[in-house]
Amino acid sequence: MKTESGITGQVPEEIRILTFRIADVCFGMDMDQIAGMRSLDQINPREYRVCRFEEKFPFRRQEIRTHSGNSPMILILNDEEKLSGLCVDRPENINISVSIDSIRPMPALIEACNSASPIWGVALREGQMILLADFYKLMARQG
Amino acid sequence: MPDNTDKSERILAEVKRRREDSGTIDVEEEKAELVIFRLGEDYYAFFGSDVKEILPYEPITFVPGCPEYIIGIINVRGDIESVIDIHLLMGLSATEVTKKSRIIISSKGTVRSGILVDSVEDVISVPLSCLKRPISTLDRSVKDFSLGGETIYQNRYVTILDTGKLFGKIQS
Repeated sequence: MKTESGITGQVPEEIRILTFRIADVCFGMDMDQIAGMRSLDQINPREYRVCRFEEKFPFRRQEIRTHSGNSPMILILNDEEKLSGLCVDRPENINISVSIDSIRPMPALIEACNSASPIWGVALREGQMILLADFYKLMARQG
Repeated sequence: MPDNTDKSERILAEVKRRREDSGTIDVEEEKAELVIFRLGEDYYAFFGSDVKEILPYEPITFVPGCPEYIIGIINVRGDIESVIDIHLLMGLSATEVTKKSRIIISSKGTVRSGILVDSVEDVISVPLSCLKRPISTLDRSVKDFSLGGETIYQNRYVTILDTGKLFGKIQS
């Protein structure tokens, strides 16, 4: 399938995402981009390149707090060549379904001044806005 | 004895004739609708034709990676709108949210966005002839976004801002 933007490939009717929260903002990532999830002690730091979301994507004027009681988890990027992971607080929801019809593009002004952003859209689910982040673009981003 | 039965009709006919002779013509003067809002102590306006909706303040979802003057996004009945802090865009200190704060949903061309203002004071209709050139002492940061016109509202100067220029600065 070829879309107007020239992007080829099948477009699914829904995606399955994992959600987590940083500074009260809910983010979602496509489960297809995640190879697995490990706790910190299950990761060999010499083998994996691990970073936190906010190291890649600074939150200006926002205080980032790890929620007490949550042990951070590492999301492993689904990439056989690069062993890398993203450290987040314990995910809120895993493998939830999001219909394509409930996804909105980012507003034009945000796209214009943030064109290389890993955040590619907003999913509306149960009255909540979930910022959809592309795991590959996020990890490729210079922190 | 004069016949008064058609007196009123005769008077009315004469009144009309005189008005026609005097060349008095009622012209519906072209008017502009203005949405007047406050930033700090100063009054500004957008043309009503650029304003789609005025919303009470609601929590804004932060989007990382945006310039500081883009506060974030809101959900307006299923549409996602960006929200601009016009204070910061104009080089002033950040907007302090109060009960009077409003989000003006504005659109120009294909671009649409919310603009956070301190309060919306009024929506008025003014004859275009009442729009004057802005005073030369207007602050540079304001002048950059001015449409080149101002009016008076409750004895105060109101500078008319161009949403296209605001959006243009962000997109440049």
